[in-house]
Amino acid sequence: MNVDDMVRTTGEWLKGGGPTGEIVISSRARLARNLAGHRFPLSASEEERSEITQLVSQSVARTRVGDELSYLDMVGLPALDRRFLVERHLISREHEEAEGARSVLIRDDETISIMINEEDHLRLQALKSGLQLNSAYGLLEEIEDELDGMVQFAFDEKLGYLTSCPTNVGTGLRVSVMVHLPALAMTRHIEKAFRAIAKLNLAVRGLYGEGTEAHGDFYQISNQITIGRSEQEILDDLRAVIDQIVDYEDSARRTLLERQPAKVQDRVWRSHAILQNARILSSEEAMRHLSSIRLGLHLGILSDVQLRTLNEMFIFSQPAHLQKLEGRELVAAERDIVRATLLRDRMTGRGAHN
Amino acid sequence: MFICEICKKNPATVHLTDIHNNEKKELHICQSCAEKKGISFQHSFSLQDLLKGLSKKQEDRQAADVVCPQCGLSYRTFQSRGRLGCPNDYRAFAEQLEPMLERIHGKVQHVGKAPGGPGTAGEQQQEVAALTRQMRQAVESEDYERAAELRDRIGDLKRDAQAEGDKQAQERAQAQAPAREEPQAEQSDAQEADEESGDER
Repeated sequence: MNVDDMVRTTGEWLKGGGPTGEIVISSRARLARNLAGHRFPLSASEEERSEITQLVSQSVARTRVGDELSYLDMVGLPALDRRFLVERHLISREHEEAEGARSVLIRDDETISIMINEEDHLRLQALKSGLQLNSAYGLLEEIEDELDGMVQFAFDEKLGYLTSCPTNVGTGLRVSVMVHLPALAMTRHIEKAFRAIAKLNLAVRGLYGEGTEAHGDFYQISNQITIGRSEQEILDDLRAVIDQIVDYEDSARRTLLERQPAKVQDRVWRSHAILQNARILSSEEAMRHLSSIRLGLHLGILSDVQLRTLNEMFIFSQPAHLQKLEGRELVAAERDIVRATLLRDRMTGRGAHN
Repeated sequence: MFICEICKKNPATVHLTDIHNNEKKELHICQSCAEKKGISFQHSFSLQDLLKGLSKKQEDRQAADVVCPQCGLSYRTFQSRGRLGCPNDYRAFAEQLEPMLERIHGKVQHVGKAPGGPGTAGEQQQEVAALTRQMRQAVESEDYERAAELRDRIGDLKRDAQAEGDKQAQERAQAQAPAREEPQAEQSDAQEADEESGDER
């Protein structure tokens, strides 16, 4: 599998249908590990980086999922392909932009990606649809257990797994969920919710857009503390908070529909009309309208769009995806036209993939 | 690593994405230029701030000259780039890192997974770990039937292990001190779990 093969497919997590999928888009777990006796990637010489890339990728290939993984060398991968992988949530921005020997291994169904020589020697990541934190972490735990028998990880009795950045030390585990909170935003309860989350040592950031501002009301919530709690406690802590946020959003949606039905319906149908008819759409505007459609779908206001199609529209309307689909580079103005066409086709049931 | 696009001096630690007139612009700037621009980060967490706060102390100025003998990184360099050079830095900069780790994480004692855990344990232990993992996942996806099935299998495995362990302990006890009383077998977790569930299978 190479990047071009991925253009016409979607990852498992995009198919939707995971638990609580109306509000929780996806769950992600990430484990950071380093090899004992080696400098971290940022300080390692090019020679040492190459050596690590080889050692780690060979070990990963010998695990049970080894056969299902495709190896991509980041060096020599075109910039557009690297950006595509970022949009697909398979590599980080840092991995996209860094220099020097580094690579990524991706499972065919895109549930697992393993970055080698990002900030740490190994970054194992699992992505699942809906609220499935345990399943996401379970995928990583299995691979990590196997790797543990093949290589020696940098570990300290007191500090746990040693990482390039002290914010990851201990378990090296970062878990996050992507949530869609349009009703909390509409009822202006979102700031309150975020203040409560921050007190619990969890981080919130807008998925698209600057800082905590989010286009389309998509937010990512993750743990900050990686040491002093066990992996299961970290998973359970986040899960408990997400359960509450989901309840909170769900009841805000019901209340909105009950008390201001015209307002909600108007928002949904306006977005529906724009996506079906617009000829030029910026990514910001597209996000906003797709967000409204998602809300409308859950509240039963409309039903002519599948959740899976909706998830695909989010991913495919991003710049690198549009350019890969078109098979050429596009400037922003051209992309807005291609984006509007793509969304129009999908909204009216034409041009669906798969 | 990026260099600040405004002062062209400090490393860029603030990365902004601005969408203006349909054109996506990325700006990579340093913390101090970001502050001058009036960009505040209420929710984001800045390692640089923590480091700056800590380095105000006079003694930390000397501490900044500490160099890791294994990778050659100075604490000063770590302060500016926020990334360590090698695993040994945690030992070389222990004094400086400890208070910082406490501020970030609170408790600084690892309690999670450790190398040589389930991966190198006996086959049976490995199977129990794998089944437990599958059981948690089944509960998560609300497949309670499968979860119950897995729970029973874990129970069986644990009971077998317990019985085997008891037999060995008994043999050891008899071989070493024939006069001593036989060790009482404790009720295993598996049996308790089984009694709680009580469903027919």
